[in-house]
Amino acid sequence: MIFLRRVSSVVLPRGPAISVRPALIRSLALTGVVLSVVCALCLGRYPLSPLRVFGVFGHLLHLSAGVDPLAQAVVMQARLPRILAALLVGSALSCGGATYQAVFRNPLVSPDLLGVLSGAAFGAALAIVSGGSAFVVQMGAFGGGLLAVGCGLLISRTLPGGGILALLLGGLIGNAIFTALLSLVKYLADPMDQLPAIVNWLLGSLAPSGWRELAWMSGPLLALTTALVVCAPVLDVLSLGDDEARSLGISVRVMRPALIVLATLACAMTISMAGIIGWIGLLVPHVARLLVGAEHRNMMPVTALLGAGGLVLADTCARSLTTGEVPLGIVTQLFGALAFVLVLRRLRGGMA
Amino acid sequence: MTLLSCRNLGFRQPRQPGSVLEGIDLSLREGELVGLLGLNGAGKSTLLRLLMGFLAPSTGEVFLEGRPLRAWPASAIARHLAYVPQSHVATFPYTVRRMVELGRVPHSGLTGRLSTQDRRAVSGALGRMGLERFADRPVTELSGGERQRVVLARAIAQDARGLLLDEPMTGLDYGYQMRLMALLAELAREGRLVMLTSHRPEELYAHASRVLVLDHGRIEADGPPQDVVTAQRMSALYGVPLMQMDHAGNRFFHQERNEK
Repeated sequence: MIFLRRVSSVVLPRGPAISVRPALIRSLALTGVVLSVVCALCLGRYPLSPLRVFGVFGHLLHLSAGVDPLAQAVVMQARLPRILAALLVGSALSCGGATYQAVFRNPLVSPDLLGVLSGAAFGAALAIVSGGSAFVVQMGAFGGGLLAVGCGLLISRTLPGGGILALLLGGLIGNAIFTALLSLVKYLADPMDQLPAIVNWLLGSLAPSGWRELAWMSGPLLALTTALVVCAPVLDVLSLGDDEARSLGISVRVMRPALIVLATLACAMTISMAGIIGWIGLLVPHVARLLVGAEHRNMMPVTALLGAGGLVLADTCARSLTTGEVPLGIVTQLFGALAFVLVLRRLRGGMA
Repeated sequence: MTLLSCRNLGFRQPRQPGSVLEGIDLSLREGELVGLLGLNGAGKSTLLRLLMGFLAPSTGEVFLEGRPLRAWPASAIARHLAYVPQSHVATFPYTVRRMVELGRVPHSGLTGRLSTQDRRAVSGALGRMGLERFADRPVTELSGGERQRVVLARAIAQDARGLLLDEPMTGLDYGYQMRLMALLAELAREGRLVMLTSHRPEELYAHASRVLVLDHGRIEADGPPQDVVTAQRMSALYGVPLMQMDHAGNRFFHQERNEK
């Protein structure tokens, strides 16, 4: 019994640790995002002073006449597109994770629950093996992710009982199928060049993100994230359970699949843009809950901001900690897991 | 006026023999306090969930204000009927106040700000369930009985014309069991339909205006408590020999003992 209580006290995060108004936290988080972007623009293998960075933007806006060609190349060609990609991917993954956690009424769920990751990995690996271009690999990942979730949902429809349990089981089976298929593709891949390419892709990185990717990814990704933030109040009701949500006038049969589809699309797009970036979707919602409490209508905007800023910082670490580049997926996994320990300790301490 | 009714209502689990409920005909009026008695597994909760529209009936139909329930949009049903489940599982640490405010969702929508009327309903419901001093605490930190009071307060804040409660006494301390029955009677006197499932015939005798007995998936008795809650019927229903004792408008049961 004591054990059970302990476990539940870990799983159930506590209310706001510091009672500050959500609006204040939101503006603080926004400031944090801006600061992290400035840091990311300055730091890297070729460090730039903030003054030179501002000079580049000043020139762009025709405020200053002098040109700093080196700084301009670093900022405009290398860093800025990557930072914008990190902002988009970070917020989409975090909001997707928070939505999954609420829909499945489980704070330990991450966006890969229904198999979007294994499906995307399979799709990308298949595209790499068949010699597709970077664009084909991106499309393969996106399509594979949706295919896997679609399979999981279809399987769950055939299971008796329905509800969350059937969804979980369907996702589990879909996940297993696509993990097996991924292994098959890896096994058949050419070990000299294709297999390393697959492994490298699976580690996740924002390095390939340029203006071209941003041009067609940013619109949909921004729209999906905005939709998830706007829909957040529905999650407050939906997370009460099916009967209670229905008794408050929410159509569970419509809202739950709709939110799953939105969150899955968002995650599939991030994967096709940056590969597999773990832990952001699980960790960031918890941090947001610690700051502003569990109400989704308050925590979702903060989740989006923290995810955006957090991934920008993580990506800055990934490209400037060593002389080479550490894949971003490794950085988020490592720091995410360690940060989760701190979050859980904070939750436990609060239960005393 | 009849708020909620059903005709030839039946329910069977898919891929399982036999039906849970069969041929239920009911007409529930505003102002009634209806108690539903039955053994464990008799189908009491199923009947409530059918009446709320959570389950689709296998046969027959439920009517809200004379119109088939499936023709009503979910949000309109929520303005007419509130529901209190047997137990509430709290996953996220919403504050007590937020939980009760969710009862206003059918009226004010999800994103809309709370009107003065919403605020009044919320603070009234918090007060009726003695939750003012818990208002800013997370529901996950409350005991089972306190959480039950939060869900009751939410249903009261919903301000619906019908209130369906599934064993609302579960986990409440003795004082709140007493207060809750009195409160439900008061809500019925205000002109609402209140229907609850219960395992306490004595309480239904004291407060209900109508008692139903559900046995083997059918309504076995339906009438005023004086006629339905009798030692003979309760003995037959629960399979325990009972004696009854009437005192000051109350009826008490005790087990028949073979004393020398």
